[in-house]
Amino acid sequence: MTIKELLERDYVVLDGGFGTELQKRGMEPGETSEIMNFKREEDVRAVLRSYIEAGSDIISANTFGANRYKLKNEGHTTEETVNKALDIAREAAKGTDTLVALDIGPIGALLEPAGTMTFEEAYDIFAEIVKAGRDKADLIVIETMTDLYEIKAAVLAAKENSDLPVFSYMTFEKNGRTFTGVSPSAMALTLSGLGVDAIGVNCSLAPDELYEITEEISRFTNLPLVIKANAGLPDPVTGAYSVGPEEFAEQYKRFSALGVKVFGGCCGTSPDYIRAVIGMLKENPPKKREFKEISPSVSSYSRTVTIDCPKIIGERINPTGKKLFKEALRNNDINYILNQALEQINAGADILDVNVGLPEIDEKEMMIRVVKALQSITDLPLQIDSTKPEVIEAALRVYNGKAIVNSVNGEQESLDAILPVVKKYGASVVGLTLDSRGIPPTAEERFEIAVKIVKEAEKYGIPKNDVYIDCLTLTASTEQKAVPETLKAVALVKERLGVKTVLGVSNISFGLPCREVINSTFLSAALYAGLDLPIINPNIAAMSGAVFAFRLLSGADENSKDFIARFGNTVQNAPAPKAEVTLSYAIEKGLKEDAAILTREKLKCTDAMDIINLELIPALDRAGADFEKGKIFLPQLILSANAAQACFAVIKEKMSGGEQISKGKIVIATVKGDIHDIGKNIVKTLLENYGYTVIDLGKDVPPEKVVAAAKEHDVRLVGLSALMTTTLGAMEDTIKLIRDNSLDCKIVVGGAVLTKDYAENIGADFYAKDAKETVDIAKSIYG
Amino acid sequence: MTEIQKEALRYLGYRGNQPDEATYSLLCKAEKELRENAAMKYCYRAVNKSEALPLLKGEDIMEHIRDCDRVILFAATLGVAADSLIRRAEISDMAYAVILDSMASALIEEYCDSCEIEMKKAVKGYFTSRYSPGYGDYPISEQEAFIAFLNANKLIGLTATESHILIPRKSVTAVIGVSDKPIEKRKRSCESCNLRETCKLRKENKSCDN
Repeated sequence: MTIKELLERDYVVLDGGFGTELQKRGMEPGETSEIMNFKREEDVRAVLRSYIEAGSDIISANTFGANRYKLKNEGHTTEETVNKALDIAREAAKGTDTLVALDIGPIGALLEPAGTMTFEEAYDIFAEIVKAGRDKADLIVIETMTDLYEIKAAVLAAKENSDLPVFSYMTFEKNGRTFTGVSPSAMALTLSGLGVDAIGVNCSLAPDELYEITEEISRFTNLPLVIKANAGLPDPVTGAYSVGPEEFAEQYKRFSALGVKVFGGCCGTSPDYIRAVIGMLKENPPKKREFKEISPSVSSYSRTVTIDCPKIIGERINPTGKKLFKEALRNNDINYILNQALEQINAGADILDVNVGLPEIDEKEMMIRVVKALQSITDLPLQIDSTKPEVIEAALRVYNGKAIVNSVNGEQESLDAILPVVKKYGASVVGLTLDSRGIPPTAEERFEIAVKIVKEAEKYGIPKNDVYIDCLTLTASTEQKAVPETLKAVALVKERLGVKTVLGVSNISFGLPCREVINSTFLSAALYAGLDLPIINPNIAAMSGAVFAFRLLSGADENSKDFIARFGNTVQNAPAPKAEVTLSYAIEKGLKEDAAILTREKLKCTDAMDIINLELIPALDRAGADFEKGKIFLPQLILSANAAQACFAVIKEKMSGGEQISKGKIVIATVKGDIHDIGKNIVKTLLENYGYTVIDLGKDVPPEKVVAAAKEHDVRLVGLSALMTTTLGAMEDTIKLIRDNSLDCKIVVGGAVLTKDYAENIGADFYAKDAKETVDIAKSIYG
Repeated sequence: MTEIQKEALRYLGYRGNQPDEATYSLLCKAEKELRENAAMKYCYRAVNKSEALPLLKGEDIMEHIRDCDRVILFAATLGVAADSLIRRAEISDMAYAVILDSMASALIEEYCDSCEIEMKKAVKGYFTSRYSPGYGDYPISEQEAFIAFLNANKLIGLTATESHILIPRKSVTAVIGVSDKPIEKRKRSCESCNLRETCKLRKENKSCDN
């Protein structure tokens, strides 16, 4: 019996609850279930045997938590535990054709960005389990996952280290999301793309409460569906579960009618439940699901964007022609890039294009950092924009969702290099209608290339719906005749090929005055020709406005709801600051917009350094003094700092290089083991707004990294933060390593549990009780 | 101003002072956004004291539940959405981030109080105040065992890092003693406060209560 054969049957039955069954046989709550493979081998075998007798086609070996993170204090390695568990399961299944699964549950630590474990560490942990069990198992079951990122790591580990079929289930809550906010559609799109063999839902709730979630999954995948519900909820006092075997089976009827193929039970279910489910399935065999086209969609871990009407791809994360962006890339200033993202999100972008290509930086490393940082602050799907296959692959690997790849073109070399990567990670792909001949002049020729790209994609197993064709915008000032050809090509591709279309719009007006008018006019024309995914600068109201208006006029935005929500309260222009507002006043009061406008005015007749030294810094000092006296409080102090930041941003724009106005570089970090970084970030905000360049190493930073950064940037001041008594040791270690390396720099420490005495004891030069004091210390060093 | 807003301001060090208009509006925004997005969850087990003993380390916690025959082991969280709101605010609006952070701390306390009301329906008796690992001589390293005992990772998505910090960040684990006889209710104090590790007032031997 193979999985493939099994899945050809009307239905497949899994086993039921394992932990709860072992507890009935004497395992204590809080005990590690996997250790029972050694301590209660007989009981483990008996539980598995009882499921085989009840009629399970597949049993899961007792390996759910057999990862090195959970086993670290248990005295058994992953390899031992997995092997022992599979041996027991194999013995239990002896003489039957029941299949044995290597069962993989969550690691037990949260992954980045919510937690501290990296994606790569998680992958290693899962790979170790897969390698340990691949020779003795018939399939791999990955279950009870609540984080799409974690299950992605597990699926990749399973597929890259074995040839076994993979079933993958996630656990949802009553609100229709997992603990980490994963939606059923995002899960279905992402896991289907990764090439698993069956997909489903397990644990947490009774069948009834999981129906809608399963139904949503069924709309976004053609894979066999799995349901493995709990017997309701346990009573916190008695521990008894609320749904009995017959009721449980009764609730599964709807799932059978939906076309679910694989049935099992999770916590609280027993062999009796499995028997009842089999009885029900004999009477009510599952409906056959028909293959259906999944509507073109992309997703992050939580937000699914279905391209059922034009959706905006924001183009601003791209260094081409942008001085400040290039500078940010060179300085590793991720915050600058994140702010570009936030601006576009607020302006109505649906998807963000990400391009970080710059000749003098390591594009792959930067792409990984930026993708990880972006998905820590936004749930908008990303479009990975690079010409290098290795950069695209690295980005798709760490992306938590189903991304778009921008792009391939009609050249065979490009298709053969990029499409396998797109297929492996289940992304969508933009196909440019150009090839070795360049961009063909006529619409017909571009259409031909589009046909080729779609055909090649299908050859690699990428469905047509995941290919979006870019018919390419040429510049109207130099190739005026090409403009209608592009529009014609969009219409052709849309109508005859039936795929979605994408177009970079802004290029149309290059070299012409009044670009906005041309851009938005061309955009409207393209939308009417059938453009689905305009790549634009959404921050320009006329551009995003054209898309919102089109959605309204085409009827996609029913009752104009979205349009009114976005534009109903728009103030056309920010009012000019009142006459009595001076720059100093704006900074002191935290009036960000006013500060920017006033700075722009002042720069016309005042030297930038004078503005900084005579207005900005004294105003900040006054706010700082008020803070110390208890006249204003932390939020107001930061608002002042933000206003100063707005002022700085304007000055930076005017100057050729940002470095010229830097008062000096400071490295700051929250020490290893500590993840409280809000205090450190307050310090950073203040320091930056006093004109210092802050190299922020983030949280949970190992001592070596602090030393390396201090050396690289040759700084005279290092700031360390620790907020837990348990992490003060790491602070001391960091200071020691700085001293051991004889770096010529001072160290300032801060954090709620620190005191001046303690700071001295561990060898710091300064103790700062708050952010304001850190600024005073920086001044004493740099002036 | 509502109680929870006052509480959030206390965490921000206002010591009874009124916020200015800008701060107040951010405070309201933070409360709204957190209430809309936080997926609050809790779980608990009510057991005989003897059954919980392996988890109750140190003299202080034993003193806290001296007059009790039962204990509740309790965990609650605002979920990862609260953390992600704060993280996002830290990129572009630090003032809002610190306000969100304080409001989230106030909110988890409020939520724990409402959980207690729920638990009182299922567990009869008089409750002590909440007492958490990391306070007094109750080692913070007990977080992992606490989570395992409650199966809190699976039930509410709670984890601890290697340095015993709870994630999601706005989470609480606590022990509540239960007795058939009335217990002298001590004043609300630092022992159950989730800011105790990082509180500036506590460092100065002061409390936000006075």
